[in-house]
Amino acid sequence: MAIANAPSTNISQAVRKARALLAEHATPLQRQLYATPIDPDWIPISPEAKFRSLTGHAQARIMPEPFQAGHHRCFNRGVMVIDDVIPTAEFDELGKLTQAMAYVTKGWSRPSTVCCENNKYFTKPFPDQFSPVDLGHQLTTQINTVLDRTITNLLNFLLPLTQPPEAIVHCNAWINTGPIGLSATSGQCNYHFWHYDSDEYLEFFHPEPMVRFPVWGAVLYIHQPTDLSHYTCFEADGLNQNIRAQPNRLVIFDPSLVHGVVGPPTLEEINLRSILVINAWDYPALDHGTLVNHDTI
Amino acid sequence: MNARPDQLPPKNALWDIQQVHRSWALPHEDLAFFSPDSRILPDIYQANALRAVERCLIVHDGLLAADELADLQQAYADLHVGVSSRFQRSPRDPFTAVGTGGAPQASTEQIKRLQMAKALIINRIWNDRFAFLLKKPEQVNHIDAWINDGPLSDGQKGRYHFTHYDCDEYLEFSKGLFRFAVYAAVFYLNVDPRVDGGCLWFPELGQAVRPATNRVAIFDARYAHSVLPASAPSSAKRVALTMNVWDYATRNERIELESGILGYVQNRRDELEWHP
Repeated sequence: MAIANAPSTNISQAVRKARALLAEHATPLQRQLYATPIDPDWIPISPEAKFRSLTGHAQARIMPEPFQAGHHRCFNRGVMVIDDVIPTAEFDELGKLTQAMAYVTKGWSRPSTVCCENNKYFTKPFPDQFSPVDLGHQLTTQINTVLDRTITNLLNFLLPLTQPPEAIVHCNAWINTGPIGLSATSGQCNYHFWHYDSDEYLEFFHPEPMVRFPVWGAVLYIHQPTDLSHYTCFEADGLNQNIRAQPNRLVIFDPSLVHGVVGPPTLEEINLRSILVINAWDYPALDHGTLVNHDTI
Repeated sequence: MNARPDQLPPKNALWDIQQVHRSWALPHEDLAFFSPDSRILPDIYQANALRAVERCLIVHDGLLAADELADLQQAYADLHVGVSSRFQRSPRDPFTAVGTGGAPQASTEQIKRLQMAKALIINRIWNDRFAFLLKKPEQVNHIDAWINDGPLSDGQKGRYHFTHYDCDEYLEFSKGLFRFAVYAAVFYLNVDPRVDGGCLWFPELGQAVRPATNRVAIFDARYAHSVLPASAPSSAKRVALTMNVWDYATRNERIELESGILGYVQNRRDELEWHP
């Protein structure tokens, strides 16, 4: 997740790391997009959105439609809510691991390559995984195994909405536990500030900050305190629609819609609200979480 | 090709139901009208297998282009009465209108124009943008569609529209049994910004959908739903096109059958327009 005002040394390390990864993995489409000069006529990001360039450059602008992945979506400007998406036993295991993660780390990032063989889709870990805290080999392996299984499961909901399904070649997933910093000053969305889901290298680290959206954004609500209500909000100027957080509910949305989360704060160590977020991509977009060490921010 | 009735597994055919079991699920407690004997038919009698995505709710804006929306709004304004229609298709063909009710004073041209506009919406949703929802499209051949332009008259239990299921109304009213459509959808044709409230409400989901012009809400038809109270000046419109997507042609009136405890008996298939 994007957090502004990171120390400049950390940013330069992240930029070097990003360039090394891109040199090895960037696709022709990705190279072409990153080489596109920004146009001052492009629409600037919503003033509500918290995201800003970390390199100190001008305000990010949204790449126009021909540069976006909208043509891969069966529908744009919409949200899809699906309940009971993960089988109960698997969901319980995911919930327990997520709560365990909440005690030692605020989140967990998991970028994956999406593969297809014999019409069957699966994921494999993207190179250079980043673990926010060293939990030891056994627990780390267990977390990643469960996350991989969950991500593959959720891809089965995303791919049929995609034209063609094989357009999705990469996904970034992360676990969020508890409220996000900076949200308290973010007006209505006091749990997680207004934002887009976007190519975080392009928006934060590129010399000319630009916004390109993934094919799909998705949230799986894992744990929701029973006595509290949280909603994912889509901005009034956009969809103007709130989605209630419920365990085992998947929300798939057009990621160009500005969104945030409203709800009461949850306790730091117990009963945290926890979610799994997925951004499905048509190229291996780099996740902020794998580039920047959270401990130094 | 469609499966013929006599090709269906006998125990899954509604006309083979001989007994209602008290162990079958009760309808949702928020439902406005049901008797203590009402039951939801078990999964084997439902259309679950035809849904590619179960337990889903979709909200999508901008279904129609501006000129398409204006055309439909005008077609409806010319009539200004609720019109129900039935649409049908053969495999891989678009849905086309096959019947109309509720507009006796309308001219043939007016009805035709409205039917074509409705067909555009139906095909935009079910043959184009949301076709991925249908696991076996060749078996989903019937759509009932109607336009509501205000709260129903009486007995709404404090709502704009009472809590209900979109189900086979013959089975509901004659036998107290609930068999759900494959999907249901509401397209908001014209919602005046002065309309306050009127959200589509799903009690099982704890979820509301705000009405907005050119928005469509699509959902698994097994979800109970209602429309919450709305207030607006009398001149403010809230016009919605509602549709139920079916795997057979449902009856649209109450009929008592002389034999068979549930009515759907094998020797009445033709009368029931049964086209699984």
